[in-house]
Amino acid sequence: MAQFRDLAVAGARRLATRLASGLLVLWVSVTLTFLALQVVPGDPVKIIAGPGAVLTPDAVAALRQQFGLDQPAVERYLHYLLGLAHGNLGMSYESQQPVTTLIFGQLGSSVALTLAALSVAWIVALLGILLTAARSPVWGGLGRGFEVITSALPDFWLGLLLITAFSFKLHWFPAIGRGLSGLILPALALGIPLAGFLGQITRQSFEDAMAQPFALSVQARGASDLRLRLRHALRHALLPGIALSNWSVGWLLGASVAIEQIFARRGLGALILEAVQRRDFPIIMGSVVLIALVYVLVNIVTDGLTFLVDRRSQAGEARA
Amino acid sequence: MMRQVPGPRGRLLTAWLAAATLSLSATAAWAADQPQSGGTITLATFKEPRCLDPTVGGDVPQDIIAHMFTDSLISQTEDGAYHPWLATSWDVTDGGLTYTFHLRTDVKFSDGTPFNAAAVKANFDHWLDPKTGSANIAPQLTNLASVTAVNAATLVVKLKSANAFFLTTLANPSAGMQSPQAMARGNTLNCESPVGSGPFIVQKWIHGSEVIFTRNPNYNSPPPQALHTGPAYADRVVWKVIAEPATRFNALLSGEVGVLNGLPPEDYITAKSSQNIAIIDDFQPGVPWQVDLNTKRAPFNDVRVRRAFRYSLDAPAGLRSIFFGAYQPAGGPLSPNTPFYDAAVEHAYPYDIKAADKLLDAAGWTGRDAQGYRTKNGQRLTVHFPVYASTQPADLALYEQLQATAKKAGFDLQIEKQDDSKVYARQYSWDYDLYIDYWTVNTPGALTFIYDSDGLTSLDGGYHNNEAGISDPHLDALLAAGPATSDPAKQKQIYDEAQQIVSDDALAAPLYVYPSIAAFNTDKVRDVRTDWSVHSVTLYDAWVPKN
Amino acid sequence: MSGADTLAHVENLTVRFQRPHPRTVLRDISFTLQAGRILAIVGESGSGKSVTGRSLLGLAGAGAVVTAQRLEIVGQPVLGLSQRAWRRLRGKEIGLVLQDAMVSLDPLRPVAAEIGEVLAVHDIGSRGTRPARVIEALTEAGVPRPEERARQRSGELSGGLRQRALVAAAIAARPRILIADEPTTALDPTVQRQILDLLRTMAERGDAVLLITHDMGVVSAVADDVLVLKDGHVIEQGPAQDILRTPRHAYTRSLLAAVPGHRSGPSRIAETSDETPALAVSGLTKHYPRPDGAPVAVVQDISFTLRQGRTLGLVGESGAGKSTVGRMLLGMTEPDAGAVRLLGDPWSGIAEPLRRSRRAAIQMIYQDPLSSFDPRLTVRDILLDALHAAGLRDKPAALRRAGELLAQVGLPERIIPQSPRILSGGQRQRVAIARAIATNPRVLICDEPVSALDVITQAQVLELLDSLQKRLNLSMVFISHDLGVIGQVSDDIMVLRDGQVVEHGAADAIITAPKHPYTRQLFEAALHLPKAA
Repeated sequence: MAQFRDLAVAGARRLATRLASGLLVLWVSVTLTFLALQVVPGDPVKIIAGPGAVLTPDAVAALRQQFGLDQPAVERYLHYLLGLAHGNLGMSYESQQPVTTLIFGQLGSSVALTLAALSVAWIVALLGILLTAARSPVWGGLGRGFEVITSALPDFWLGLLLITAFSFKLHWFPAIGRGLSGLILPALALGIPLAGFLGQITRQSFEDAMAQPFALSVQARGASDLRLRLRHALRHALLPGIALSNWSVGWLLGASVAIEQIFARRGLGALILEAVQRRDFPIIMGSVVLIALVYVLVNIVTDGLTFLVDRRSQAGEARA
Repeated sequence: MMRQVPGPRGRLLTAWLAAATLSLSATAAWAADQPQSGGTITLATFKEPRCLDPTVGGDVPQDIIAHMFTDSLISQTEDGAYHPWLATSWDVTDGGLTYTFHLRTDVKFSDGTPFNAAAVKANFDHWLDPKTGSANIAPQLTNLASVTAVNAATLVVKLKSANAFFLTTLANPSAGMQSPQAMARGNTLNCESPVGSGPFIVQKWIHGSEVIFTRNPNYNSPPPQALHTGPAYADRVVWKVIAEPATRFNALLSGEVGVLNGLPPEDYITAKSSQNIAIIDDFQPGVPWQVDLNTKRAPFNDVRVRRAFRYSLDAPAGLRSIFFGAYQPAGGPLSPNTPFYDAAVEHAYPYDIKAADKLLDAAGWTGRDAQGYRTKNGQRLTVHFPVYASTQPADLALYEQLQATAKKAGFDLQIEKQDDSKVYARQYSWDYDLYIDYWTVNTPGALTFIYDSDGLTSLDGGYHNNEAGISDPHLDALLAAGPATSDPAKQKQIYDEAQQIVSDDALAAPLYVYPSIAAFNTDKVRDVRTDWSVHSVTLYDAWVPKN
Repeated sequence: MSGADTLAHVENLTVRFQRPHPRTVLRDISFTLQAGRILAIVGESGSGKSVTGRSLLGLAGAGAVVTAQRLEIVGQPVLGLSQRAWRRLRGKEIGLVLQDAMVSLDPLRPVAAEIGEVLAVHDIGSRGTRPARVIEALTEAGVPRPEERARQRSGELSGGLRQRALVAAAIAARPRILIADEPTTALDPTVQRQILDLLRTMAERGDAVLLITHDMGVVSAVADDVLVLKDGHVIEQGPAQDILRTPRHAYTRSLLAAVPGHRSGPSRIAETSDETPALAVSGLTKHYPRPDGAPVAVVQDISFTLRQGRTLGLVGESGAGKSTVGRMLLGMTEPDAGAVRLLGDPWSGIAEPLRRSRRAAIQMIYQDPLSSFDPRLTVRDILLDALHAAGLRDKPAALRRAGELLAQVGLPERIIPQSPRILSGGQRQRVAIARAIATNPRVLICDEPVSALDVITQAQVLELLDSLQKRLNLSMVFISHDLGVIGQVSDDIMVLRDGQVVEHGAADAIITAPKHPYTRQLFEAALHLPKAA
């Protein structure tokens, strides 16, 4: 019992540290982005008004005041931080909607796609490894070759290929899908190249684990090869893959613009890209905040997963 | 078993059955061609509006969606003629300076507020309010003197100077009447859920995806050219945004989408040969898709070089190979379906490298460098052409073809693809030799917008509509006189001359007439028609067949 | 062996491999395993002893071609058996204990899962009854508080407990045959003794034990029968007592001679004491914080003087603090209290820039040379790197000196371009020694330099160190847990326990007449050979 309590206390302490450092990361991201946006050319007032708008000096002044652009940079920065603490991310210059509304409107779709793509990636990578790793060189070569090729595939190319083949020609899936059926093709387009990366790094640790003395011990117990792979080697191989997944989440969330475009899905990628092109600062800032937050949260989750897989880092080890 | 030959009674029975079946199927067929109430129409377009209130900002996506939920004061037919709509009639007096509108009194906005003169005045105020930031209407109403609501059914508008195209502005969807109560909520809310008196009501806007409309059950104000009166047929309209052309077109083919606003040119031929796809083949009036030449700096400060440049472009060939014949080439300053279009200047500059060479030699660009480009005093004949990052790939392909033929005459045409806002910045600071331009309006007033010297400056040092940098007092006078007279013969004379000047001066190189090609899947929707005030589709008369 | 069951019959076992090149690893080996007896197969690395054990499990290795006139396990012929049939035997009829439980048990799983796995695989008992059997197995293997230990992972257990858990995993399904492959290598002497006693207990219970080892000391401690292997051939086999007392073959004799024992030859006479001592250590103390924050003294108040040309043997079990002392002597760790003086000048407690210029004078050799080399470097790079640090920058001169160093440690010049990864353990350690003497040091710290080597190589490396010491007048601090080795090399011995000095004095005195009960306990645990007849 005492052991569990110690574990819980240690876990809570760890979580608190993570959250604190997460806040620091958030603050640094926001500040750096703010500074960067100050240096970028492009007057926000022109963006708000839209190109081709005819503005009198009074109108310009009115707009500046409305959006708080007549304040000095430091004041705007502090004002923004204050708003951030209250969950207020400001108003978009382009559409004059609250940034939180715009971002959260796109979030659900992006999150669903991210999770689906990550699942596809893991399933494909693990299948590849279980079938081809730590076997004859022929199988190993096939597996590695598959991983190299898939990791080199551009996701937009794969997306176009999939939609043309399975939607336009074979009609297995709708062109603009909703719900689960609409998730499958884009998840494959994003997940398969990721599976290539995942497979490559997991393969090495898997093969290392299979070569360890404990693998021999397991075989000497009469265990089958499948049991050795699934119950022993796999666990050892998961750790680098979990670290990679950590990074992937942030990337999948924000960078799937091409896939969103091809499959007519809503998503953060298009929102962010347009905001950057049009210098819509509030959306850019809001997106940075969101993605930094996602990374912090995912880090915590990854930490937890790593601990579940490998308890060694947590418990004290007796000196040899 | 023996074959039975039908007896006399059997033959009669068979005849009756045949007749009955025939008449039933005829009825069914007839019935199937009749509009039915109910169903959902899905429309897909390529760009999402920035805001649903058509006057905040004001880009093309906003324009084409506005008549879904608003009616305008005036309606227009294909020939450009004006007809009543929410205004039952109007009087033009004082030499075109005073307009008295007589308004309908039996129309309500969908939030229950009544449509009346006060409401119209509120709309005018909204258009001109700097907070609204209107880029489409406000610039066309710069000569407004006053707007007065005399009584609930009468509105008097006074102009500072006569404007023959004032009514055209009012017929536009961006001048669709909105509920004053709704507008008073402010831009944030009004962008999300504006309120008009139109056939459909905005139910929900899912950003990045679609706008959902429901039928307005109390609709009683269609324009006279509509096919029916009363509420619209469809229960619901889903106005989707699908940016990727292949996805959009295939959704139409498979029936997931019923109407396509913006048929991708590469799919034109497939659509034409498909049994169940109907095409509305149209193009936009106004100034066509063209590149303006910056006359303020070398090399285009020399009219000979400008003319040589026009001779060195072969837009029609590029259009054929890239747009599969779906796009029509443009040669003159106005699009052929613009009132007072002059065909005389349409072929002023055919593709002619020899003519270009002659002009360039005369202009002193006689040197040649190692790559074959012309030089003068050691300077290469470079033409800088900034283009937006958001440029369509097909357009880029067209520019590259122009680049190839221009090279034959010795021009080094540099296509500089940059961030949208970087490109704007270059526009503001006149840092370009070529700049893309077009202006969609169904009046020749488009010329004023593009070539009048008023357009040289922007009030805050920003975007200047006059991209060629031309300041020609004679042209200015012509462009001012056009709207001031209401005599068509005089207007023709004025605009013919204006177009001639623009063409002679080679201020711009027109490329193609901006297409407005819509297509719909007849299995899913019927009677999709054209809204002539904006050359887009109207769904008021459209209905969903039941099969 | 009348009355005893023959649990395994092996006649003319031959094992061949095709890849990477065709070679015969075992040639015509024949033996039997009897219930209640321990057979030890002894040989150097590469003799084929491990392959023998694994062939009895059908795990000789990928691509192995196993032929024999007779190969029977518990009466069942197993030659050419399918994998599925082998799996029924493994764990149930025949168990395997490997070296080093840290890596021989899955470190991510609790010990109970590892032990219980063989039960689950063979469908022994039910989910409800298996935990009880696991506890039973741990108890049989001599693990105290087994319920607590069962939940822990192998890394959380001490060396001895880990190894016992490993044995428990092998015996959980009560196999009649137990194969132990180097089960005690690199373990502390007391723990070694315990594990060997455990194997003895298994045998007394009626199992047959096949013990694979390179250490004749282990053989003499527990084996009933011996089989000596060299390069896949049987050199000698028979009852252990006979072979140990009267070895017939020269090779067997060399194995016996290689066991580190009492120093042969007169001990070195102490030098005059007015020479500056090589190392003067007083009151050395070091604390480390425990996981809960409280500091624990890892090294407490160690003092000694190492005179030039002599060897101090630092002996103790794991956790005694020997390595920490070694690092403080090297100046890699700062002591919390106390001081170290190197050749008369202060060494500890001063800033590193002041020490850097004198570092050449004191060098270290480690137990695992491979991990102390940068894996990308060749032998040439390693030596040039050391010479560069010692100030010899001119490449041709450095190369020549590298050749000299290799000659001094008895390595041929042709290994210069090779990577240490393809060298044998003994060769690697020689390279490490060459690197250490490249800077012309005065003091050499050796931290368990031979613990990972087999007995013949061990003897060779110890001989090399001895000759280098004489030639170069090196002063050495030799750290080890192996009393035999310590006895052989040391002039003075210091016994450490839990960071404190238990006994300290001249080697002869301590070996012949240890005063402290702990010292005596250590010596008792050490493996002795029977006196020659």
